[in-house]
Amino acid sequence: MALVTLTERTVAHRVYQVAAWALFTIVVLSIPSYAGLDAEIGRWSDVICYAVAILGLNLVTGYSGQISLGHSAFVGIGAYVTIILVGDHDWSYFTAIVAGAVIAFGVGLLIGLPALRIRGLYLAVVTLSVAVVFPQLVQKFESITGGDNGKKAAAELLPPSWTGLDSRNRNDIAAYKYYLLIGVAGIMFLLVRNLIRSRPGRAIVAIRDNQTSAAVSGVDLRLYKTLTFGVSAAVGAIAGGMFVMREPFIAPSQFGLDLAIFLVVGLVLGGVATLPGAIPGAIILVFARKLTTDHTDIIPWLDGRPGAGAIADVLFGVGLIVFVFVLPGGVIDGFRRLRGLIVRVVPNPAWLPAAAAAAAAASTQAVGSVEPVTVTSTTVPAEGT
Amino acid sequence: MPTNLSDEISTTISASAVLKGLRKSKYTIWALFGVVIALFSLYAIVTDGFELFFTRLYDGLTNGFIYSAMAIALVLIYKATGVINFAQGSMAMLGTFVAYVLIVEQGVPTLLGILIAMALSALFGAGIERVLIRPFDPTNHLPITIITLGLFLGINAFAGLIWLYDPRAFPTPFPSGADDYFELFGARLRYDRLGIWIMVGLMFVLLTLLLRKTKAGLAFRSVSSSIESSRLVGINVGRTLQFGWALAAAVGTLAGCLIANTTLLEPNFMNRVLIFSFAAATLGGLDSIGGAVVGGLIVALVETMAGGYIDVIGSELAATTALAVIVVVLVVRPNGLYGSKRIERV
Amino acid sequence: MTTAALLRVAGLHASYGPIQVLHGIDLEVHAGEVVVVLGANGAGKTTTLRAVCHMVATKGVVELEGHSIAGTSTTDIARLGVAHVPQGRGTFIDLSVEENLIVGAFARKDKDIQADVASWYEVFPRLAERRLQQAGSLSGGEQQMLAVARAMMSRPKLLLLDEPSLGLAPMIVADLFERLGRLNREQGMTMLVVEQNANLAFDIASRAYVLEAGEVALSGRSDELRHDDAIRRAYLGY
Repeated sequence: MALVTLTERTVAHRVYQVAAWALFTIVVLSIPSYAGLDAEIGRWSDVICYAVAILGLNLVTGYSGQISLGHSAFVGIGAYVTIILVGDHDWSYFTAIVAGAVIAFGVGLLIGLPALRIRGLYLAVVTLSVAVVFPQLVQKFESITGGDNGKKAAAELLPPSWTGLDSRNRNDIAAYKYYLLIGVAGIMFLLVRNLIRSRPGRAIVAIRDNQTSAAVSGVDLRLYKTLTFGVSAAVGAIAGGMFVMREPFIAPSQFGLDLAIFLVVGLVLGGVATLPGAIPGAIILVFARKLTTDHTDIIPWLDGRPGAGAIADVLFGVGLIVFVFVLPGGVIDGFRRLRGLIVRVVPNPAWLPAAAAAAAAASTQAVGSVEPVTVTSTTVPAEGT
Repeated sequence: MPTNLSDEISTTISASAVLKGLRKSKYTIWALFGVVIALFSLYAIVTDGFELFFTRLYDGLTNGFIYSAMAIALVLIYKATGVINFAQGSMAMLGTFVAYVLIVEQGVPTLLGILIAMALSALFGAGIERVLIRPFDPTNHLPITIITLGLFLGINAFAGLIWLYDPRAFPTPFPSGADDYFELFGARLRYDRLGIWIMVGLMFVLLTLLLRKTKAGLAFRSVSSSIESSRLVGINVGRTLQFGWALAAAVGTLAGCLIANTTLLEPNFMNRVLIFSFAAATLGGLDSIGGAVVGGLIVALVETMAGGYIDVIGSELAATTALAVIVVVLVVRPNGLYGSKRIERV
Repeated sequence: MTTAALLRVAGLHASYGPIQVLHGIDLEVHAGEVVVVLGANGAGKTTTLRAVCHMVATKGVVELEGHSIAGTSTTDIARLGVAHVPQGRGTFIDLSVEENLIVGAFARKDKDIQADVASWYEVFPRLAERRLQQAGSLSGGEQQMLAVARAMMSRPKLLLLDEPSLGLAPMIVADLFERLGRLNREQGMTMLVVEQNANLAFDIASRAYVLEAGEVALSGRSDELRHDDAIRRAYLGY
């Protein structure tokens, strides 16, 4: 029973939407001032980068239903291409990131090709291999990538004078980077949102829900499945470039299996096949570890034991399990249910005459607004994949 | 001129017809494979000699049996539940540590310690199924997969907290002194390595007998085939799945104990093996136990031989090569070498 | 003198999640009878059988030999002597023909299982020919025979058959129904059969229920129903 009921496309509804977005924007923009120090701001910048990475993963796993455990490799490609172009060849960050996305797109297409024939868990294992292999390749080609020691780019993003920020102040630099990243992330979310809502986007979801039916309905499976991998890889690569923007120093261990797993975890915790889910997913990834690492003194036996990160991981693991029991739809699902208690939006599509809409409003049970459905598998007798 | 042209045309046509026929025959693929391997082995022996070849072969086989053992555990759970248990390696690691505590700290004889650890792992696996897996609809794989990911993270970290990360040596139940080997084809085959081959082989045989000749095994295979039909004949699906988890856990622990002797025991020691075991299981076909064994051997042999003999690949890209082989095979056979094809009805 | 029903269903409601499919079904099957459930696609026939076996969420009375099985699990209902051959036959395609038969007797603890397997091979010689073959490689008709034999292996009190004619050629279906009829006459097997092919069903059934939109539209003796033109045209489509 919601407190407030709004009908779609009325003035009241619009006001609510504008107000909600305004609130969100204000919160996002004021984080640097709230956080203050560059380390804190840096963490929020990390959140933005992870969010875009998860966004990319969501395209291929959430919306397209192809399990990919190799997304870390695409993020890594974007990161390395960016840092090499910026550091060794004096490219600008923005063109370098785009270049990274293009290259990753190509690699994504290549990986998507076997995905045509291989499905489900077989695909998961293949993509897992990609995740494992990528750091090894980076190590192998030391001369370009700096190998295990990592790679640093001298050119850093510094705030120009018109922003009023001091380019010698670390906090201001961090804030400047934060706003740049927000800009890039905003563009990415917008692009992906438009993609999902477009015809190709619906084709992708159709493939996820029932590949055979989609094929029979005229969806070119080969084209869409490979394209999805490509686009998702490109988005992941941009996230990689964003990591470099945030901190122009990277090492291969950052883009290995651990990252691949954490991205999947972040995706599921945030909410599969939901656009905004990337944000809480990223927040959990960045801050849950920090929180648990900071408070290991709660359990005295743990003091002095190495691997405070290990405690974080135990709690992570437990938390993941608890989450699956309690909130299988992820944080976004929980958030929507909460919101549904306060505000209920009644659908009112443009093609429905007003009288029918009113009757529909009286009997429908719409919870929250209309969004793509979260992933559930249909219990069809054909098991196997 | 015309005669030559028509001759050419007819030869091309008949050649392509032969090729097409060949491509269709599955034995051709194996035959080609065999030829490649024979040529490679010949090249290897000619360049670097018998001893090196067979030493590498034995190493490859040892690794192969090790990967197979873990792959079998993965396949058991996949067959029954359709889920890949990402925590299999972690559970095996935990079991191996339990064995370590029994054998090294409590002085239990090695083989007995391993068996007790296997039994305890079976209980643990059964418990996990009952508490964490059963509440979910068996056909909905995503939440269950995430739970195994959570277990993977949690168990690994938990082991790190208790036992820290210093590597320890793990004993072997087989004779392992400096002189405990015999010469075969000019290379040394150590008893403890041969022991691994034998134990894994034995486990495979026992497992196959269990699945094919016992009522519990029949229940397991029925559940793997169709959960709904199993219920309709009165099979308790939950308990059967629990049995599968227990079995997989025990097999995993055995694999862990065998592996631990070849490297050093520490909480992350199964990670590398796990990737290869996943690959091996996938290669063999995720629902075929025999396939897991074949897959394990192939992966390990490619890794050892290609890594050893082809310098460009070296040891760094050995893993990559093995994985590349798997991708190629999967493209040709999307369900692995021995996996079952599910025909989809529109 | 009325014999108590072997199976009694009263006020049965069933739903798949939020969608209600059955809106209060009443039916009875007496020992030794063949009862057929007819109706158009989507009328709820399959759901009725699944509801009896508690494979869907149900509300209402379901009694086997006078004892309620409404809350009992599918597995336990099978063990109580209800053998259900689902739509599509539910063959264990990865097991051999023989293993399918053996697993049919899973709930039994007696020593006559092998003897029963042998006798079913006599009834269905085609199965004997293919005993070690993978069941998934059998033809549709053969799988249907196997499914019936598998169900009978449990020596059930009640046999539920969901659209046994589905996907089978007419000659095979005729043969199948002839055998089902024999099973009933010679072994006294009680059956509840869901069918779309009303004509064939009437040949072996003594009573019929016709479902429409999740409710019993009418019921009666099959010889009465089959000869009533109005009913035939309205509900049975011929």
